[in-house]
Amino acid sequence: MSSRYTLLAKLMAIALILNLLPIFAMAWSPMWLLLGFVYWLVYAQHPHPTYIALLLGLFFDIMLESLMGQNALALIVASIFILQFKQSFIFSNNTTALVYVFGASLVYLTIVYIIQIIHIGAWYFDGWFLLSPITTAILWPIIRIFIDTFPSKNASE
Amino acid sequence: MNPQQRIQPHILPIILALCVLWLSPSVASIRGHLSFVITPIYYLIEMPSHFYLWVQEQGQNKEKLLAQVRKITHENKAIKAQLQTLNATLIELKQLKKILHTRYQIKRSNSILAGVSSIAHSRFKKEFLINKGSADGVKIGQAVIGVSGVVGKIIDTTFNHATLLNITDPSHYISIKNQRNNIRTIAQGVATTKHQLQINFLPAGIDIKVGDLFVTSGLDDSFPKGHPVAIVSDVTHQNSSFLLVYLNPVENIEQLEFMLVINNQGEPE
Repeated sequence: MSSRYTLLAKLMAIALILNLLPIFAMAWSPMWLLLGFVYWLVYAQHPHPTYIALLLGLFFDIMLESLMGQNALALIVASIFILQFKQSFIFSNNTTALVYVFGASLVYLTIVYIIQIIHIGAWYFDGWFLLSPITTAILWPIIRIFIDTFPSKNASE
Repeated sequence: MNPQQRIQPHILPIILALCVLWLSPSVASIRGHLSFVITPIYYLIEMPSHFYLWVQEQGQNKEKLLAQVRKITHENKAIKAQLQTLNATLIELKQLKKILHTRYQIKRSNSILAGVSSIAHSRFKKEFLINKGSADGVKIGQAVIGVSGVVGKIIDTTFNHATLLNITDPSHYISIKNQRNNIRTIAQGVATTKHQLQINFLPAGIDIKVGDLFVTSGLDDSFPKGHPVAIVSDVTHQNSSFLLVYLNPVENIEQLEFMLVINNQGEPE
């Protein structure tokens, strides 16, 4: 297994554990899956990242017992969003990257939100949901510094 | 590269994701088959809390455990004592239910429920002290019945207590009649330690058999008519002209605990 897959496996394992911890079972909880995947997407070069997003999303759908395909579709669309700004993302400072992550989080959340509305068949809105993209974006610089200390930080090389 | 070309390689994954979403209810069973993957992860997540509990348990010293044992032992004893009280209450309740059944036959306004306080029992004295007195409306001369039949009558009252003369007391007389053939007579308690009654001077040819039930006749104004009193246990010839009949009271006086004090006008309904 190449180092980029090793990095992805580590990131996803941590993201999964953090997602399942009771302390993070709140509306304001960061989107750990998205944070980890965005890091991998930007710094590990992969020819077909959206297929990986599809597989990971499905895996998380199974693990988190959410609607099958929900996280997969949201992660694919959020990945496409990030891929549009990939070059800018790599060379930008933390503040600009934070805005990109916030945008990707909003896209992710919107997709999940729409799927839920279609699935339930009723309109509902909880303002607390908006806190999640904010906490995700705020955590980005910390996550980036933390992951950069990993031995496989040069996974793309 | 224009935006359309950029999006093109991602269309297939999106379509696949949409297909999975569309088929979501059908593929949901996959989760069940993948439980072997999920279980270790959940175990891993719960590990810190299990570890914390394990450390906490190890930290408990011997004294604390001994204190817990003492506390549990004490609680156990208290529960056992409580259980005994409950058993006694249950027995009492059964007796009360029986007496309640008897009470339906008497006008409720005419009866007072009483319990035995003490017993004075000798060859010549068969009395009870009951826990109801003049304050409760108990008066001298009132009849007292138990679950199965007549017990006796009130001969003395104080404010909170009353003395009951048993029908088996040698100084007690009661007017009775044979339920089978309505032969009326008077029974008297016997001067022995046994609870028995006797009928003297019955004509020799009279129809009385062992096992006949005698009930109150209602002629003496003390006891309501028709209540069971005693059953014939022995019929002997006193001499050539008269019979001597022995009877056992219907009410089990040895086990008596509750009774009803009834008014002289307490006729059966």
